[in-house]
Amino acid sequence: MGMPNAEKWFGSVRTSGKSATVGGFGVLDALLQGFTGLTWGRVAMFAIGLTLIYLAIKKQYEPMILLPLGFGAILANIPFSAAIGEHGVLTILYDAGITTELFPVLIFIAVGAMIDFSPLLRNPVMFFFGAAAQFGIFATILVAIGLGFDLKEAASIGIIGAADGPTSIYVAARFAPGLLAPISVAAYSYMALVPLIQPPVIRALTTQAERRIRMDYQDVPIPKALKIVFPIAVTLLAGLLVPMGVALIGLLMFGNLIRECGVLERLSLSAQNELANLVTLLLGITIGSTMTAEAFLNSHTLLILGMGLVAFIFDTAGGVLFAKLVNLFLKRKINPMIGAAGISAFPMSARVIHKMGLAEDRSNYLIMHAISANVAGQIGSVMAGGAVLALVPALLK
Amino acid sequence: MSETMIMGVQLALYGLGTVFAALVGFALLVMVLRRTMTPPAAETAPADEQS
Repeated sequence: MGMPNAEKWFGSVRTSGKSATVGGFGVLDALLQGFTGLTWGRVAMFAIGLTLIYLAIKKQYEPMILLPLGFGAILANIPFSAAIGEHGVLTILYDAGITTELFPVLIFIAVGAMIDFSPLLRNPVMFFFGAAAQFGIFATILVAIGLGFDLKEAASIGIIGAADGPTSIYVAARFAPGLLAPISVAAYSYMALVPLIQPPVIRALTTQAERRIRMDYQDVPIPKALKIVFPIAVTLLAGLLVPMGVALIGLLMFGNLIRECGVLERLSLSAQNELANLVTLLLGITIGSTMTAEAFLNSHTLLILGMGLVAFIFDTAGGVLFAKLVNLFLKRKINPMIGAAGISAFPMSARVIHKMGLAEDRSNYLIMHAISANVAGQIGSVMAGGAVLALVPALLK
Repeated sequence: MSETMIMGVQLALYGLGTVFAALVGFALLVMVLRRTMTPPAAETAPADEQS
């Protein structure tokens, strides 16, 4: 029973003045349109939304993003949902925060304010692993092109390998907004699944002897001036190298400068808490609102989820193999597992490596090295995002 | 090889190259800054004095 029917019935009430029961069919029709508009696709999306909420609450997989994402998916798939559409609040938020790239960029200020670069400043050699573990991004771009995606879509899918949600969202929002939902789900889900994804890849690529390699750690003091100069210098260098990535690396470093300068403690705390919480809340539910059945339930989503996994595997392999390559030229060997910590998933990846080290040798503490590489990965992922943003339009000219 | 794949290979080479160049640059920058900013005594001071 559609709206024209309802108009007919309301019309009859107005002209004939018959009992309200006749007009009630139209009212009932309007009340039941949510149920009559249900499709199997929408029901499947409810199930997906509920699964994300379950994973967030029960398994605690990235709950800050997966729970709003799941609930946003439910809101978006209720038939005739007023939350989305021209005047829908979630669409307004999407236009204001995602289309303009405002939300991911604000998240970078918060992330910058949370990061302590000291372990990396003590051990700058770890920067190399922050670069090597971005291998998965570029390998996955080639896989995506091989599967028929165009360059912009492939670049957006590859960036899942940055293991960095805001960077993935930023790049996808610019290059492939239609794929934003599956890319975000993949990026955050696999970040949460790092403890399951990395160990088998590392074990497959290393020997037990390699996993037992010990590394010295010197806890040298880092001058405060260095902590202040570092974010400014990185912004200038990175900005000059890839100006397209300035919004990413610049605001990450701005957040870090607020943290390290020592005179803006209130702003630093606000960025770490209020800003991070508020934007994460809006980011998750807003992206969830793009998970409509029509946009999400297709073969592309499955391919993207699959390629996200491939990206994380290639990242891990890239880091480990690079460490093994470097070891060929070093007297004091590096534990190749450290290479795998060069992804941006902080601090999960560092914890995984530390635990794997302890599992091989109860007295081998790799945590500080792993954290150094992990922090380098956070810079590496943002640089990779900036490079992709700069190179794709240049190549398409 | 399709034109898109060629562009993808170029993106991979230039992209990874850019990331490596930038991070190696940052590593060198940190090494230089650390050397210039750390007082010589701090580098060699015993652990209890450092804390």
